[in-house]
Amino acid sequence: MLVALTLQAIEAMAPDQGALTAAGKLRKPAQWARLSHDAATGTIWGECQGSGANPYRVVADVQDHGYKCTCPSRKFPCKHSLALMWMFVEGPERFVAEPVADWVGDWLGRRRRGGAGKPEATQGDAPPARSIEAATVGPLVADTVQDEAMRVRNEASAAKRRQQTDASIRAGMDDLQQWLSDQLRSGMAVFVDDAMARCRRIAARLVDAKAAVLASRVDELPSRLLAVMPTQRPQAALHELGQLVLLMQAWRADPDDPDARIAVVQSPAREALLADARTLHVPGPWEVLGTEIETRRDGLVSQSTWLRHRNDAGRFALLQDFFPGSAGRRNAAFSAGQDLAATLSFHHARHPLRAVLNTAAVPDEQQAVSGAVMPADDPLQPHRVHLSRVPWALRTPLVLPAGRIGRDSEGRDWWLPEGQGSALPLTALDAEAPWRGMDISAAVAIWDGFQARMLRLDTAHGVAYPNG
Amino acid sequence: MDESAFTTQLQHLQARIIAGVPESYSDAAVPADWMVASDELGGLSVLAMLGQCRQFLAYPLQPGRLLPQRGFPAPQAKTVDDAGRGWFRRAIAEMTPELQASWLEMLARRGWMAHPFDWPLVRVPQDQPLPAFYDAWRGWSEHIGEEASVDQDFEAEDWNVLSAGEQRRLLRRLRRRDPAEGRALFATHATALPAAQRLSLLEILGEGLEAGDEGLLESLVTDRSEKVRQLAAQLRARLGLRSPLDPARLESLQEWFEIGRAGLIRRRDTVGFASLKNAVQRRTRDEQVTLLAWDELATALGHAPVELVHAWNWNDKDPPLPLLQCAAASAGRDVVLAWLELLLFERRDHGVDWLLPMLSARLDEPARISLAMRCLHEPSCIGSFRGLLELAGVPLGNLGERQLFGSLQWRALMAWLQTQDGHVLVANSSGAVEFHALACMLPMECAAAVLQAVGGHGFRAADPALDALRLNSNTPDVPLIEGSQR
Repeated sequence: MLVALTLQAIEAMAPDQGALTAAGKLRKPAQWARLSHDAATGTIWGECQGSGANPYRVVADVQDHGYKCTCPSRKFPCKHSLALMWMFVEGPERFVAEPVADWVGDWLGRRRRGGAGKPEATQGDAPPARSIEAATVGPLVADTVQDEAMRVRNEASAAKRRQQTDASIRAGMDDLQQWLSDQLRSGMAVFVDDAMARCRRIAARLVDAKAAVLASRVDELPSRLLAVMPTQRPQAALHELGQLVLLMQAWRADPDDPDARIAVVQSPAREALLADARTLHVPGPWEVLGTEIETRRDGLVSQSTWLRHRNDAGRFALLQDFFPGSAGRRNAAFSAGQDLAATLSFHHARHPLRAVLNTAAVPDEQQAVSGAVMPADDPLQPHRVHLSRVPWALRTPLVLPAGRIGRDSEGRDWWLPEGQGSALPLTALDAEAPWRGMDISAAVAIWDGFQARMLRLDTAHGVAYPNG
Repeated sequence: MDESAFTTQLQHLQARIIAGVPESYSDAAVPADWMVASDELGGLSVLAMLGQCRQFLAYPLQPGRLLPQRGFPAPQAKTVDDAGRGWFRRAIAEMTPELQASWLEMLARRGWMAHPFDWPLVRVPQDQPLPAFYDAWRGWSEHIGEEASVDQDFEAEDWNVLSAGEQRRLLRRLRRRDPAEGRALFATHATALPAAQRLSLLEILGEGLEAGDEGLLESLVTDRSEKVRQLAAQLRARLGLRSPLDPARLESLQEWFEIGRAGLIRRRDTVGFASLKNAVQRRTRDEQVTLLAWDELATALGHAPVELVHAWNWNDKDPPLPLLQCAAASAGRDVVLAWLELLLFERRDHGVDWLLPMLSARLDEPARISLAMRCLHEPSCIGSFRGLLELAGVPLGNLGERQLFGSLQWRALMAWLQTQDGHVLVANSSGAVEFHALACMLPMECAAAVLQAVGGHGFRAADPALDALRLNSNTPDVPLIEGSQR
């Protein structure tokens, strides 16, 4: 049955009053990077900036009220879907008419109309349990009544919590130092053989000490070791443990150092980052190079999207999101090769790389045309610069010179630069990809200290995104 | 300290750390500057500095033998552009290998081929033909991981360095270019090959059989492989060359068949299978009949070749599969055509639709297209566009909108859509295959008309099942690149 989208229908769809209230707060235009509609399919869609680095993609059908959002919420519909429909009812003129986006087309391609999101039978005398009115009035009243005393109390308790956290982490660092000394005594060769269990134990201790990011780094260390050639694993272990020593020293010297804090405790919240005067904001256009989605041992899924500035070939950015694996499979927010005319706000750091999306819009033609990759004379130099600023850095984007893909006698992939340059080992590439046999004029890769993961290859047949 | 001494010292230090450091380092093992820099962490500081030092000073160890991969051959035709690649990729990923082959054939006939980056999506088996554009790419895929040593634009003189797949493709290419050249290649090299390879090459020769092949086939009748001998005999039979059956075979044939008469007013001879005692006997009969030459079989049963088709007694429940396979392998064109007429338009409930493409493959392209066009309007056993495509094997280049929209298959497709309540998306459904088949067979204008027409049937404009049709409707004929061969 097709029913016109109304506020009453949205009320009826909302799973609870909380969802409606949250949706009401999301109606601010600043929250939405894009609002679009397509009359032919009766579809509206938008990109809503949530707490993560990537925006959530929300789509709804205004005729049968079907919806889909990429957020991990277990409420159906979620606040983003409700907000999108709500905004459409209140101001359809804010939605730009445009052809259906690819990801919207994919959703349309998978769904069957008519079943989803049917309004509940609330046509009788009884009012719906959820109210748009309550959702809009309530928060406004709450927002206007700011208790200054409460704010001061909150700040004081936050400072106290931070002190407690730092003290706890210091104790955790002492345990980490002891653990590192134990590994050094037994040797890297022994460590490599038992890395999984050994790392798991100290990672658990670091979690207890509230050093969540550091714990995760230690927990993932064995996976990183397994990714390199067996003969290189002791060397890689040496490097990784050495970096932990340096991070530990940096934390002890200055727990407020932004680079150390982000590597040990947590990144600042998005709101705090945007409010921080030191934050570096870089407008686009940005090119999406690819997304790596990895399930970590702690059950979280890490989604890392690499971007490169179209007009500044040496500037890269990393959007990183984490969500629970139990929330189900989540597609990448962006597709490789996509242009983003967005401003990125970088975390305060000596080598700014990690960022959050501030705004997004479709770039115009002029902005999108440039994008030639400019290789450095020594392709590993950016990694060394990165390490000199952040000695515990794990990954650095590189611009590689012209070359080809080659193989060694064991079937391992290598980057073979033209001329006299040194070859670089690569993570395994798609065995059947045609660009394996093409001349590559330039490339972008992520270097982890031992091997490179290809992100972009410029060939005579166009640009390939192996990780797209 | 010079650089090499320093490097050696680092290597020794690294070896010690990898092996384990039971106590503190000796002064000699650690660079002097590092000892000054070390704090209360002692050994851990050395570990950290060594790790960083290796990253700054050392380049990845270069293996002794590093070779670039074989170069990917340049496209032989205009490739699908960026605007169409999205449609292409989504469509081809959903297609079966058979449909993929038809889809690439349709594009090739208009002068287009897949973009190189989309080649990995093509899953057509190596022994199934593709447009000649793709020969070089197929060769590259066969040699993935090998270094650039073999010339990819191979000719007859390269035969000995080619893989089995490349030899097949070379023979097919030469055979298309000049049948005599292909025949000469086979005659020169086939005897040295294993039986399976000889058989597959002989099958390729069979695709363009001509009178000039008689001598070659005659020599193969005494081949050391029985399967090659049988195929050669079937190919000879297709050319109308007779090899009378020996008396023993003739006798057993007459035991397997039952010859009778039927009809009240117009009496006619009939032929049917005799009742055999058990499954083993029936299997033996079926195998033997399949391998016979059609003309000899007809003669043995007392009929002219085409007469045997019409004399078959359809009172049997099962279709005469061995006879049909025998006809597909060795009968002349008129017999094949007679069977197709019968199966397509008269005995429509035979249930052996899968055999029709085997039979129709024996006809030339205009004859296949003519049959397919008839199936659009005459009641036939082909109820789907996919079936039509399999029958024709090639796009229906002259099909008009009126013919299409008036066809039985179109009505069936629209009726199916009606049962889906008009709102369903056909992607991932049986209907998607029909739209893919349409995309493989329709001319450009007709594909555009279909897109317009389905919009009025509750279709969503963005339905991915229509991607192939969209690309079809946006792919005009373009001239071939000079020197390329479709």
